[in-house]
Amino acid sequence: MAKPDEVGYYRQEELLKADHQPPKTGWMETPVDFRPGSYIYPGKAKNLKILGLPNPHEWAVTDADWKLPEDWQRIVLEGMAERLKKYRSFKLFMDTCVRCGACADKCHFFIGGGDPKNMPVLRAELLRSIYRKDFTTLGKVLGKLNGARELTADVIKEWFYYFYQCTECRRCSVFCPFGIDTAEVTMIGRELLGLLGLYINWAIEPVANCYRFGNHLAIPPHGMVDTLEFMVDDIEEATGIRVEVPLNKKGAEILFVPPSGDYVAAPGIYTCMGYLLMFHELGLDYTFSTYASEGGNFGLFTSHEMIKRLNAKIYAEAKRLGVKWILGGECGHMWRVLHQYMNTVNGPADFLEVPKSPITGTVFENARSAKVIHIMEFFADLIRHGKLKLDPSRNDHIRVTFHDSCNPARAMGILEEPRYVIKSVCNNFFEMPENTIREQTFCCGGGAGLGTDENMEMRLRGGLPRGNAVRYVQQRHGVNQLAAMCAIDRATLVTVCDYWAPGVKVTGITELVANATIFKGEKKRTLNLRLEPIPGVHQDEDGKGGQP
Amino acid sequence: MALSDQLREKTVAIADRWLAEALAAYPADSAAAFRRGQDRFANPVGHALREGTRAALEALLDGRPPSEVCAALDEVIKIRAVQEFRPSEALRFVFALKAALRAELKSPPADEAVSADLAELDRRIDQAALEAFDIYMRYRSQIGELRINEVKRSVARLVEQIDRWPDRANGQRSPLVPLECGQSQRGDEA
Repeated sequence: MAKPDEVGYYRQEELLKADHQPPKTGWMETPVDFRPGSYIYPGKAKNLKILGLPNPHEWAVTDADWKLPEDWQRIVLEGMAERLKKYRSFKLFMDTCVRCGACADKCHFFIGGGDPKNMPVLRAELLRSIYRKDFTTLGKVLGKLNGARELTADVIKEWFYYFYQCTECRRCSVFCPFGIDTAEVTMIGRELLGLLGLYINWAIEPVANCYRFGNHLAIPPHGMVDTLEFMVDDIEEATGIRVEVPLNKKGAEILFVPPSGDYVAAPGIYTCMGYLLMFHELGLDYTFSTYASEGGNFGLFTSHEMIKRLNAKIYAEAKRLGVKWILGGECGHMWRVLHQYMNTVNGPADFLEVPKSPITGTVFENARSAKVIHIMEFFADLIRHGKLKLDPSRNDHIRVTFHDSCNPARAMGILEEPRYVIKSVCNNFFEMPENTIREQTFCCGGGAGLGTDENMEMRLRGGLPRGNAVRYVQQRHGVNQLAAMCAIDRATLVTVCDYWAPGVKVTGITELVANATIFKGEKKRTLNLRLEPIPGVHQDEDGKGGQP
Repeated sequence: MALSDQLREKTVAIADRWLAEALAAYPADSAAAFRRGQDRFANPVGHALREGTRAALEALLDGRPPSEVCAALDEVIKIRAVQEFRPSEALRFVFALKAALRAELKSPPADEAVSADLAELDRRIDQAALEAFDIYMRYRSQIGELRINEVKRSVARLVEQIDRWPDRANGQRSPLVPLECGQSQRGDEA
């Protein structure tokens, strides 16, 4: 008799017959298995109360009973009926999918993890199956044969798990022949969960903060003053220039709205320091608002109503301060809201003027309706007209690549301006592979409210396709910095790079611009905005730098 | 024919069999997608599995030490560390190489020397598998560190500001409201 370590123990023909696949059940019969590292903690009741949202309650994702309201099925189905009527896109997306599979392998969470329910088609099917059962005749009659199923508590859990494993990045929609926007399916799915009081805290707490303080981080006006003044000190240390920070300045020409992530956390703070320096250099007549202190809008990750509630402050402050137009900072999802929703939900902004650069005279016709332009459009125009004195060699120690943030790229189509700006201020720029940039860009894995830490494994799986492309240019071209014009990217890609492409740092674009700009009255620059010595420039004993 | 020669002739078939075993950890549709896509950027998991298992098999058949066999699997293990596997599920595929080798041997080795060679191969695969757990644990620990670092990074500037405040305002407290940065499992906990 052969032993296990002898070939005779195994029969080749039996091995050939072996089925490698685990026994499977259909996706409808496979209940969700909540794995630590893959789900996000629930929204705290106090945040729901602040916002006046239904069914604020105490629960944990791992509880068997999520304490849904008594008539929760009616609430969900009525909510669905209301939205089918209100949003024609939702009705269309429920009806049109032919399950061709073009989207199946395009989601970063599927690519990195392999969970079939992260195929966009199947993620949408989680909702579509309920739609068929309750809103279509065929589904009512044929049931499962027609891909329909009953709405049960397990379905709600499945929705929560998977609609919070979608970053609403819309990469799948680029490949859909019908243009089905799965992000909108996710948005509706989250809205329906919200009717039952089910949110994630990492989205709903920023929303509650934003609702009261105007920014996600609950920075009150005096805290904002303090935060910006610390940056002013650091700017002076790096450049010798003392900049002004105009706050709530009535009658200013421009209202500047950045993402609040840039106020408090590295590396975003260096981008914010860049804004302050550049506006000072240009002598811009602008102002921050301590209420419209946040361009980001986690309402986008919560509900359509919340988008409107949180975004209203921007036009309101523009009106109160009497500005002519609005300039927006390096935020990602803010631009989906400003570009695609703002005019409809909060407009028309007929009290504003079409943005016109006071330096070059360029009129930004593309912003005729919303009256807001992106800081990269503004910088690109300045550079094109030779209005910035640049020394890109100051960035020669940087070998940079550019991550197209999902929303500016796919929702706004701003692809060339950031590249033009980066190439103007850095001599060493390298693109990542074609199918990972521009419209096909891969998400950081932490957008749409997923950028918290308890779901780190999920984020790293989702960040794999992006990290993989970064590592490729790191190995091939020696890339050591990844530029991104999104505050969530600047927070989450640091971690993605640490894991998948260690050694690559993350930067905002304005930081690169400010480091390359020769400012009027600057001292010899030996430190960058991170207050790190600029390689190749040595510091003299008297603190003045000089070329080695 | 020596065992190594027999196996070397079958390298492609063994690699294919082993890849199938490694892919078996995923649901059928996902495994098919990972096997199908050839683009390393569109399908990084499939690419890493294909390249990693091939390189590890070559290292094994070349008689290189188990640490080199395992090093070829580093990327695969790194990916498995963030996927939804239990450790045993994540690394089962390393042991599956034994079955893949045997399935491609034409017949049981008649002579003792070949049989001993096979036992030696098994021993080296076992050693590589043990080292795979070391790599796996290194990445799992790193995930925990990354999580901690991110939380620290999110408050570092605030802590710095609070530290610097007394220099600026004669010992007054910063007007910054400390943020609630702790997350909790239950909805009601502060």
